Amino acid sequence: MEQRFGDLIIRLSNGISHRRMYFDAHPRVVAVSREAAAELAAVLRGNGESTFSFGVFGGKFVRHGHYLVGPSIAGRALVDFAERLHCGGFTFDAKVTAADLIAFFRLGAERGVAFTGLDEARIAFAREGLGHIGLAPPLAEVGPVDAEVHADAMAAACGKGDFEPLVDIYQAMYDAVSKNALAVNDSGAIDVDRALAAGAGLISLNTGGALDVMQFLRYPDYDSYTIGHSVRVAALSTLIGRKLGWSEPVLTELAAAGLLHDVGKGRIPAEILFKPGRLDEAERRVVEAHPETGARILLDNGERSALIMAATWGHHLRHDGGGYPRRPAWHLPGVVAELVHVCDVFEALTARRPYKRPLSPACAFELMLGDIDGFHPRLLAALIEVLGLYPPGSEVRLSDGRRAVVVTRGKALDRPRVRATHDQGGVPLAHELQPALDLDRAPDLSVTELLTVGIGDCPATGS
Amino acid sequence: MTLLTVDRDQLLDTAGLPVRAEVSTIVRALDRLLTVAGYYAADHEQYLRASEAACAAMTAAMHPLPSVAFEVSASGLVVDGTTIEPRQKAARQIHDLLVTLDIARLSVSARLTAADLRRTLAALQAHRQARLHAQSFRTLTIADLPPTVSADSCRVREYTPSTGTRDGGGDEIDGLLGSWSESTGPAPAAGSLPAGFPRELMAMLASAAKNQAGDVADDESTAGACITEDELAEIRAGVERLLQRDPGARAITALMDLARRALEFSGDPDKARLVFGQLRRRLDGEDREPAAGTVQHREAALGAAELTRRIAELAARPEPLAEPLASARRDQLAIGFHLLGAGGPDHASAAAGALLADVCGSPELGAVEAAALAEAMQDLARRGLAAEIDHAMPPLLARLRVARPDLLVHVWNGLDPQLEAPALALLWPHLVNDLALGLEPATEPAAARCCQLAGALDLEAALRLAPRFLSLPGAARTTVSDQAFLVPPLRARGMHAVLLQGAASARHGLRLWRELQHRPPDRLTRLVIAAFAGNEAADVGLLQTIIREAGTPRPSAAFGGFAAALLTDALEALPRKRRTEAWTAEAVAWLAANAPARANELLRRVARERSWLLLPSWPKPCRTAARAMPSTPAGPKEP
Repeated sequence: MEQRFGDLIIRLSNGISHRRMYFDAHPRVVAVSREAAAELAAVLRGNGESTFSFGVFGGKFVRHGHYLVGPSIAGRALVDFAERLHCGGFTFDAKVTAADLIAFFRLGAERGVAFTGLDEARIAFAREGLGHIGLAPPLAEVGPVDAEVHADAMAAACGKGDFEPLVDIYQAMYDAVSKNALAVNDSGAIDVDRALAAGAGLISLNTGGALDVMQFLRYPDYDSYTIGHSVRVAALSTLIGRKLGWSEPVLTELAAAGLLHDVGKGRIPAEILFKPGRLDEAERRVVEAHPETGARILLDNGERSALIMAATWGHHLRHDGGGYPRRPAWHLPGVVAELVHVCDVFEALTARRPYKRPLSPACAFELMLGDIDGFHPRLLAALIEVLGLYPPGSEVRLSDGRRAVVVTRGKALDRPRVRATHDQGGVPLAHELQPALDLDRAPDLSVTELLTVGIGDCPATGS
Repeated sequence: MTLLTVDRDQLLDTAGLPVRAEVSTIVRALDRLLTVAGYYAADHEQYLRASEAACAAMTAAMHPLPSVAFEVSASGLVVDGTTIEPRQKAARQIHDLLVTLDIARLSVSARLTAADLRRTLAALQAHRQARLHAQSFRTLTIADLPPTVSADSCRVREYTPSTGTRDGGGDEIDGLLGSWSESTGPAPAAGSLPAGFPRELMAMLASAAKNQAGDVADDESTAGACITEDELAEIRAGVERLLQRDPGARAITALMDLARRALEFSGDPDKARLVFGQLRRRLDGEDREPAAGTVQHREAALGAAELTRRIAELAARPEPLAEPLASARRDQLAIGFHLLGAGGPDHASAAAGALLADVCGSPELGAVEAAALAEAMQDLARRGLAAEIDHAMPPLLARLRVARPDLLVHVWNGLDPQLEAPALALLWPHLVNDLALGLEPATEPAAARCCQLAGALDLEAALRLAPRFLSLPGAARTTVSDQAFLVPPLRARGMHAVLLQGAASARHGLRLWRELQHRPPDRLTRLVIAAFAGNEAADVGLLQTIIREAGTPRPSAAFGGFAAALLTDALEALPRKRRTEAWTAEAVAWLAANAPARANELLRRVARERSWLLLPSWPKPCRTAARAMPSTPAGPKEP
């Protein structure tokens, strides 16, 4: 049942994320709202309760005093919404309808709308007719909450107990991007130190730990996909940087560079950034200005970090001299810009966008190899080598029918080390019962299907 | 031969045999272009290149046919009479596109151009977008196809799921769906299929069946229903089995796609039947339990072995990786100069200038960065950005002077020796400033090349730049680096003329005088300098004049008059004991030849003057030279 609560919270968060991409009447938004309403009804019915409540504290979901690990990662849109509402949580009663949820998602999606306090937020809810959705006062006002609760039943159910220490790192990376993205539009003052601190957290892990973090990156983040994109680009870049033998200070700055490389997108109007379909000429120019805008934002903030500047400005520069922004004839992009470019393209190909479906890594590699002049050959080689055909965090089906999560790549590109998460019958395995399998040492086993891409957020397609 | 055993690059027909090469070429070319079109903007060079390549490949493969048609049939994609199995990677995208857009036939002429191809894709894309945003049922037409492409479209009906589910269901659907949530086994796990999907799937299928039935009723000529109630029930049972085996069945999403298509085509029984057939085949395949140990081949784009080979190839390319920090600093230079040149508000230029100064303050800069700086400065100069240069360069060069003084000379020598005068003029004050401050520890030859560059600007242009130089720190220094004299002064007249206007005027003038004495450029200059010895520091104006005129093939009349007056005065005032100096006779000869009228009195004196009535006052060479004056009256004969 705990897991069902978590699913419902993620579903509510996804509703906000979908609404950001689309519009009220869009089939996806309608579908998500219906599913969430049905799920809510089922949860309440199954639990014999009349309301479903959960809190938000310190940027994480809490329920019955326990920290909900999985939803806190995957449900960032809802956490952000709660923080914007100045509330300590939500209460949904049994009469909440799909139409109510569409209105709820709409409010959640309108990031530009600020509330001065909880009262104003409640008025807004009342105006939308959201009488069946309650806003709780901030938890700090109603009593202390043990935010340091040990890995609880929810975490165990999610199978993330071992990774709990890494959640903070993921969240720090996520926050570094999202807070700065908001700050760009708000005060214009970005917090590079936050990104550097998040980067330092990532780099403080050994290689295995970094790969573990990669496993979090498969959580869906439909909301403002540029945030998840930046987090994944940061993680990818540092993985490759590590492989290239770069020093820790460089890797830390590189991670921050990955997190901030799209900071200029914060100034792109949402209707262009999230426009489904092709951009017209004027819109394209706006989008293509984002590297230069990002560099200006960094400069305006007095930021001089060479790697961050290089990545922000140069991540759309091609190895063959093409791309944007227009670069001086005498300049060839530096290795950091080229590395972030490689990761940026790969992530974009393998991630869902409002206007396209994701590609499998193999197809992404094929496409990139077909455009070989666009990338530094050694960096492209390093990317493929580090990720293999099944990037860490990918969900795969094994030849014996089990489902598994890729932990790291093996010696061969197509024989990763995995952790089986479901048995042959499709039954989920408790975390402690999930066997680690090294396909290099299990010749009878192979991967037969890629279900979700580790650094992407949804099922991949062949083309 | 099956899909599992052939080369994955082989395109097969529905019988499993390889298709003709030209058909394969045409299909692959269009497939490739569709893929590229999905990732690049319409004017992206990559897309333009791909369209050119696709057009060339397609038209070549069409030859000698006047056109080729892509058709959708019940059994697959038909190209030039060959029916291709549509699930293959190269064919699927085209097939799906045509099916989705309800295009029965897309004809392409052999006169196709790359622009036509792009226009076609844009039109199809626009059509698809229009369908995506449709809010109700309506008929759409594909507009803006080029004359070389035509599409025969079936009747298109748009579907909005919410509408379809609500309106297309009815009692039969409620009956089909009634106990769905209770009968589908355990609740889906986290990350599994959304609970509503099976329900939505069935609702869409039922809607499609209902719509199709309505069409049949309306149009008696349409033969038969595409799906029966029994078949729907069978599908539902299959979906249930699938979900029981795997609650997260991703296959359902594929079935959903097919169901949507079935609904879209519900106005066209043939198409709907085709889609239902695909759905049932797909479900049948998914419904089977996977056998342990068997490999379910997916369409992997590149296999592990091929990728490994490609990695080795890539890694072997002779393109070393730069050091990250160093290359990022070069990026910063590019950013700074780019933003500086891009204009914008003052604070932006100031920020860009500050960035450049910061980068140039790094002791880790090297020759590569110096070369980059030179290129960047030259670029700004060629673009005529004087204000930006004067804003950014002083702090930049000052920081470089502190952090890496050895690189300054590399920066200046990195400029194009043939840099056009207008561009050089913009940089010139800063070059002279650096020469005045000194380029140590540069070697003499290297610093001399900088002097030569400074001398490349003519005197007049240099003098016009004096105000800009005078605002720089080099102008405030009371001494000028010795490196300013590494080339003969008259080969850098402009620099010296401008330096004479700075705080170092007196000392520099003296030094310049000595240099000219030591290496006089011509006879007249030598005479003038010799005549003026002892009064060097007194007249910067004289020095300016000498710098201006000295060494020129034909001194101006003004300089001639000036020299005549100066020499006449000097000789007249010359103490007796100095009359034997080497230059005097030469000066007299020059006056006799060039200014006899002006120097007439002097020349007479030189020729005739005697002391004690007998002894000539002037040395014999002087007297001889004076007598050479054309109009000199005959004097007493020399003893």
